[in-house]
Parts: sequence; structure tokens; C-alpha cells
Amino acid sequence: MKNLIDRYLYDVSRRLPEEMRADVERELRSNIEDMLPENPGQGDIEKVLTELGSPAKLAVRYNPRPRYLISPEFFDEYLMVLKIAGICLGALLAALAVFKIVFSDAGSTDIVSAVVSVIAGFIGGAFDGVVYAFFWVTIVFFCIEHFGGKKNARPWSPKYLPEVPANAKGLIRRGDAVARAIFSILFTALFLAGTLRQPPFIAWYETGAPTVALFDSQLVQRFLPFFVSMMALTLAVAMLKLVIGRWNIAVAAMHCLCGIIGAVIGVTFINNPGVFTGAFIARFAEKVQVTERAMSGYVGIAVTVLTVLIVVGAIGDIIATIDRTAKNYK
Amino acid sequence: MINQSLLAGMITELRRGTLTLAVLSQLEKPQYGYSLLQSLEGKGIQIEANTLYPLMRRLESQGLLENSWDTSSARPRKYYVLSGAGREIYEALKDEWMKTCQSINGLLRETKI
Repeated sequence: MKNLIDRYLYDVSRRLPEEMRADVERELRSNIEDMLPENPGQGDIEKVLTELGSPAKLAVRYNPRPRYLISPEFFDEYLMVLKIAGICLGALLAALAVFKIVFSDAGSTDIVSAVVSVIAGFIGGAFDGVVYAFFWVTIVFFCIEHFGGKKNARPWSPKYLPEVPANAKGLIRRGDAVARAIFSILFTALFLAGTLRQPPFIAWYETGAPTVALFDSQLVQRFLPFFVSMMALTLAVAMLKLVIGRWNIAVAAMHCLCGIIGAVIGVTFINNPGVFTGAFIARFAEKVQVTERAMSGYVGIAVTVLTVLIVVGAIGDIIATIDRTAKNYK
Repeated sequence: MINQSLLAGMITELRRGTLTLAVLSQLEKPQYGYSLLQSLEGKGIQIEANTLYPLMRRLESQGLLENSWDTSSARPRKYYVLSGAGREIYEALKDEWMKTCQSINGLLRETKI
């Protein structure tokens, strides 16, 4: 019969800090015994314990320590940093994973498994990034919470209030910013993978196997630092958008700068005389039954059209960005 | 129709702050957990054991109560009594309560239903 009381006391005290266990247990035991009649039966003990309620709840009331990792005071900031860190670290590790696959020697030869491994690497990297972000952000916030001083050491004043954007157009939608970054990084990664991997899968296929690459791999190799810098810049701009959340001058400038640099790299790249391999052009000319010379002419026209599209697209985006931003300053 | 669970929650909330005052008022003389529980209940204060026992301990850790174990009887008991600081806090809290009661009562008498 005493057994029930012992079990109850154990269930309470095991949830308490070491230093207060013995004393709480002793005090609670004497309180429980006070509440019981002389020569108590099983039913009396059960009644008293039921009155005291669940040991977990009682222990919470006894426990002087905070019962959470992240306090409500910090929770909003915690969520915001967690989202940003998750997205950024996820995108970064996804890009790294894709690069690792691209440059590993153990490349499979057929296009399907190559694409599958790139996509699997992307998803795996993204997942790793989110897990790391969760782990580290939680640890950092835990440390700030428990070893840092009070959050509101500096008294709040109305001058800390943020500006209200003039209209909804001035706000940056998070989904947009993230989707833009992920797609441009994934697209660049696939392009690099398809060209630099041996054998390349952006290529001319004969009987299901890639034979001749579309892009000159040496040229792509030379442009590699620019492509990688572009991916990093895209990521940085996406991060900036997430943090600031609206079109201000800094965000707009970074966004336009990123667009201009991207356009310059793209235009410079496709206007290289040797960007498409001669062998690919020859096969294509043969297939559609024109002379190789005529085909080169068509390729030249296609490059010009593409150049115009890139430039017009970039200018259009800059104008739209200036328009959106200007609305915030009216 | 009164929303009973809403009302119950509000009553609990209303009482919560008064419990400290009730406990402090009864500890001029040393009491142990169960004796205080009974004397409060005898005076119409509704408090549950699982609220009172942790509350006494917390007031002690805040320096408002002093404790001593009485091991002379067959059953050892932990007695609590007001400390010097506890007495000062109690007097100040009591004044505050009187003022609050006066203001609230003033408000309640104004309203006619």
C-alpha cells in the first residue's frame, strides 16, 4: 500500500533538479501522510493521490527552472531566424551536393540516372541544410536565453518602429524570393553538370547514349568561377530579400546588380565563337539537311536573338524593380 | 447561457493572485502544509493541495518564509513562518489589496444591471 506513495513521490522527484529532490520528497511524504486518515486503506491513498493530481503537473509547479528551450519572448525572432537559416543553408548545401556529384568521377553514363542523382543530391543537401539550421539556431538561441542578459535591457521607444510599406506591391513575397533563388541555382547547377560531367548529358544522343556535347566544356570551365560567383550572389540577394522583406533602395540595388551581372555573364558566354561545339552543329545540320555553313549562320542568328532577349529581360526587370521600389518612397 | 469553462478559467485567474496574500496572512505562527490547507479551507478559501505546497516552497525560496523541520514527533513535518522580509511584503500587499477592493467596489456599485 505504501508502494503507491513511493511510486508517486518517485515520479514527482525524478522530474525535479537534483538538489531539491530529497527535501521535496520528504516534505511531500509528510503532507500526504497528514492528508490520510489513521490506518489508511488502498482507497484512501488513491483518493489523496488523485487529489494531488498528475506527478508531471505537480513537478512543474515545484520546479523553479524555466520549462522551455526558447522563451515566448524570443520565439518570434527564433522562428524568423530559423526560416531564413533553413532556406539559406538548405540552398547552399543543396548547391554543394550538386557540385559534388558533378565533379565526382563515379558518374553514370545515361542521362536518366545522371539527372536523378543530381536531383537526389539536391534534395538530400537541402534536407541536411534544414536540419543543420534547426540544430544550430536552436543551440544559439538556447545560449542567448540562458547565458545572455535580459532581452529588453534597452528600453523600447517608438523610434524603433519599422516603416509601413506604401502598398502591398512594395512587399517582397518570401515564396517568390526563395523560388527565384532555388530555380536559378538549380538551373545553373544542371547546366554545369550537363556540360562538365563526363560524359556530358546536354549532348547529341545516338541510340540513347550521349555522343557529342552541345557546349564547349573548356569554355564552360573557364567561365566556371563566374557561374559559381553568380550562384553565391543569387543566394546572398535572396537572403537580403528575406531579411528586409520589402523593396528598399539597398534591396533594389542588389537585385538589379545581380540581374546586370547575370546578363553580362550570359551574353558574354553565348557570344563566344566556340560556345557550341562544331561537332554538334555538324550533326544537327546533317539531321535537318542543311549545309554546315548555313547552320552556323542560323546559330549566329539564334545567338543574336538570345542576346536581345537577355538584355531586354534584364532591362525590363530593372524598370519593374525601380517602379516597385519608388512606390515605397512616395 | 453562461460559458461555464470560460467562467471557471476566469475565476481561477481572479483567485490566483489572492492566494499568496491568503497564505502570507496565515503564517504569523508556524504551520505545516496540511495544517495551513485545513485552516484556509476552514475560512472559506478554496485552494488545492497541489497549488498550496509548491506555493509555500516558492515563497520560502523568495525569502518571504522561513522553514524548520520538526523531527520531535513521530511524523517529521516542515513548518513555515513569515520572515522579516515576508512580514514587510505582507503589510504592503495588504494595503494594496484594500485599495484595489475599494476601487473595484466603487466601480461595481456604479453599474446597475
